[in-house]
Amino acid sequence: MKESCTYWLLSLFFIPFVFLSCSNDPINSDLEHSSLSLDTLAINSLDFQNYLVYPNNGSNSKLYLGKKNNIESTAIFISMETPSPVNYWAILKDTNVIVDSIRLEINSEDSTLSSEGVPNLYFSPDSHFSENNSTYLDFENLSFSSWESLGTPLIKMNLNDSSNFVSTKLVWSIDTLKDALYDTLDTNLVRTFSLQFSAGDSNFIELLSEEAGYQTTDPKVLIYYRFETSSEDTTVYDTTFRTIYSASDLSILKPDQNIIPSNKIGLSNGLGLRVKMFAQIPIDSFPSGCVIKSANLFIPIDSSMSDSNYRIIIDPIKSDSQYVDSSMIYLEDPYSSYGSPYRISNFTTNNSYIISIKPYVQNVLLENVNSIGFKIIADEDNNPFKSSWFDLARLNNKPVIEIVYVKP
Amino acid sequence: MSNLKFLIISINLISVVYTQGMMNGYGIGSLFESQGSINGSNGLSKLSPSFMDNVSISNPSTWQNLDYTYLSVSYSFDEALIKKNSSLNGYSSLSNISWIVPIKSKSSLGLSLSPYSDQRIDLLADSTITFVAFGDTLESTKKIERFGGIVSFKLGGSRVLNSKFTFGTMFNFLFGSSRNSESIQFSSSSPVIQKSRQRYTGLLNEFFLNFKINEKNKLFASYLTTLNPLNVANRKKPLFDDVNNNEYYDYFSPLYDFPHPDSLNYPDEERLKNVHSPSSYHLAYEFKLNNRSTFSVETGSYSDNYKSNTNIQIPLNKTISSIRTQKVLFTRFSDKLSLSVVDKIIMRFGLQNKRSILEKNKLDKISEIGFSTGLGLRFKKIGNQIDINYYYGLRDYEIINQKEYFQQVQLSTSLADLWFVKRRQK
Repeated sequence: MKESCTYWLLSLFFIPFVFLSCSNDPINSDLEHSSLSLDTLAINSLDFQNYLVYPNNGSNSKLYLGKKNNIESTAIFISMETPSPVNYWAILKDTNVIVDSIRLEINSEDSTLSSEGVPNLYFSPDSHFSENNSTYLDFENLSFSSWESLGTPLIKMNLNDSSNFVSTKLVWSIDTLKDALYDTLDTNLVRTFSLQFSAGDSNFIELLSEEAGYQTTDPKVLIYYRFETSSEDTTVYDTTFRTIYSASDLSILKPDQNIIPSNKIGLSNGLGLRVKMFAQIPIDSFPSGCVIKSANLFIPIDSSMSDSNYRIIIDPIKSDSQYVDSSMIYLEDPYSSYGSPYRISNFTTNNSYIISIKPYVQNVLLENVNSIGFKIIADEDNNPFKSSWFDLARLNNKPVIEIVYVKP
Repeated sequence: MSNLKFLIISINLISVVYTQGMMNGYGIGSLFESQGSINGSNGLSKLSPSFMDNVSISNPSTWQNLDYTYLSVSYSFDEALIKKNSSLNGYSSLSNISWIVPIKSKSSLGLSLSPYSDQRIDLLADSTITFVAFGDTLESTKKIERFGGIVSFKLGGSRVLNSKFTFGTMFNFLFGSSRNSESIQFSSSSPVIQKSRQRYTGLLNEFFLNFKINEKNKLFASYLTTLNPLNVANRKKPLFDDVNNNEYYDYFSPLYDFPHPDSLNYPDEERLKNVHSPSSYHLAYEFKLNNRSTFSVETGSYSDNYKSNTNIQIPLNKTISSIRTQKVLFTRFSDKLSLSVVDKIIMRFGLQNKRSILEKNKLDKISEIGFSTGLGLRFKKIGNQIDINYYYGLRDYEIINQKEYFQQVQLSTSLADLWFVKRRQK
């Protein structure tokens, strides 16, 4: 009897273990009282205005020379600085080695390049341009008379093992510059090379700039040299080379800005054509504390005039203190903008440009940024001879900012 | 051994499928005193003695009848099942710690710590919202979660007034915190979440009266009043898009939540008064059937004179404004003098009927019926005791046509000892 009771009592402690598995299932209920809800707002009152700046194409991945679409690239500049940590230019004055040859190489993706219609190379042991600031205004009376002319290049086709085209190399012999390229007294010597077509040459070529890739396709100078190593009974001559990559490069673009249609709004790097979009975000139309779920700017594109897959940057304007005259050409962009993280870019499609401006709209509501408008510019990596034009005339397809938000 | 197997199988059959939950979504949450038994050694009783003869752990006006100082600890397992959508919720936690000191059989002093309200709930909207925005269809579902609860620290005592009357009182300090999370979940993108945090403080006082009509009949009464209504320090946090889907507003790079946490000004904490101001009375009558058995009936009425506000998110958007309770109890106490193990067992049975009214709207009510059964075992001469209590109930949320099956198991250990007595060195 006593044993039986003990079993009964002990068994009671098993009950909790049946319940120990804690669980948490959501309970379905009517949550209509929850205040969170979605709402939308469309901003249709968007005004556009073109303005012009002198074009600079320093960060483009290509170098251009020649004329196309009423834009002319008059010259290409390439600068070579002193490499670090080892100054390979010093090889040129090293008495222990014998310099065999010095070459300047520039790459191109154009398989049709031939020795006909190639540019001449010029050299100057001075600095002549700023990659990010120089425009054609700085070179209105450009003359190469004081520069050393180095002639036209050899064209070398680069093929892979399957004999397919990889790239074309333009190679100039610059052996004559051996003494000019290195100066023991001038540690900051800048060597500037320039390419220009002969007068009357109407060719147009595209070359790869230093922005195209990491070193492999950069414009470069190659120094080939020999040196002697001797042991007791043998003397060995070793042949090797050193590469010095370009520090900066630039195509000088000179557009005919008179050809820009006055009734169209568009973008072009080569023309220096930019757009200001006036867009006021109506803060009072949003409830306090709301979160933007999406905010897309939609601009219709005139596909008959525009190049496809054109990359456009939108950047909110920080201050609007300066009056901007559409007929003037500005040395620098007259609008100061917020930049990252609000500066964003996207490609155009066949007939529209759609981009999310969600972070900007949210921060306008939080009063962290001003709501003045946007400057819209072509991405610097677009081909500067191409352009994109907005289609603002159609009543049923107007530019709009479409905002979806969650209100608390 | 066969008895043991039978018991385990029986318990498994009755408990695996049943479970707890919706009450947590009303007002300040489910009041712990209203969900089954208060602790393992009380059974369903609040006032009438059930811990041992003439003593109830939850009724200070009976504490002076203890022979020794007691430290009692209870652990509770609660489950609820809403059958309509098969949602199962189960929690376990410490349900009560009491330390009671009888003083010369004339008075007593006691402390206790126990949950006051449980606010844990996870609600999902029963329908999907379809929203068409600029030609795109967005499907969303709302979700409300609440975590935390309020804890009660009680300090009480009793004093025998004369041979018939004993008076008791208990101060109830309320404190705790909860977190609310209200979200709108999208099928095609990250959820948008609004969080808030509440800190609670309040002070209640309950008076107890024990009236001995004669050796066989006793009356017990209690009256709860609010000295300082429950106040809330509410901090509402900014709405955010939980881009990294971790339910926290954080910087987990590169997917930091939107808007960036550094871009916001956080609102100040707001203080809200009188979100819970209860008053209640309970009456109990105990009839002694014989030396060891008693039959009791209890009735109680509770009302909450809270001040409505819209600043705090109440998951189910309603508050329980009043509760009426009726209980029928039978208790068979142990024989203190017997050496038989069977005689050391305490048995408790109870039936409960409860009706809760929401938002002072008599049509919006929750009916509950339940039964309770419990066993206790006294051991050692001084009267240490272990108790186990099982409660099973059915709640009917009439206006929303939901039924909830609820069960609770409470385990309790009470250790007796002589405190504050000088002992001679051996």
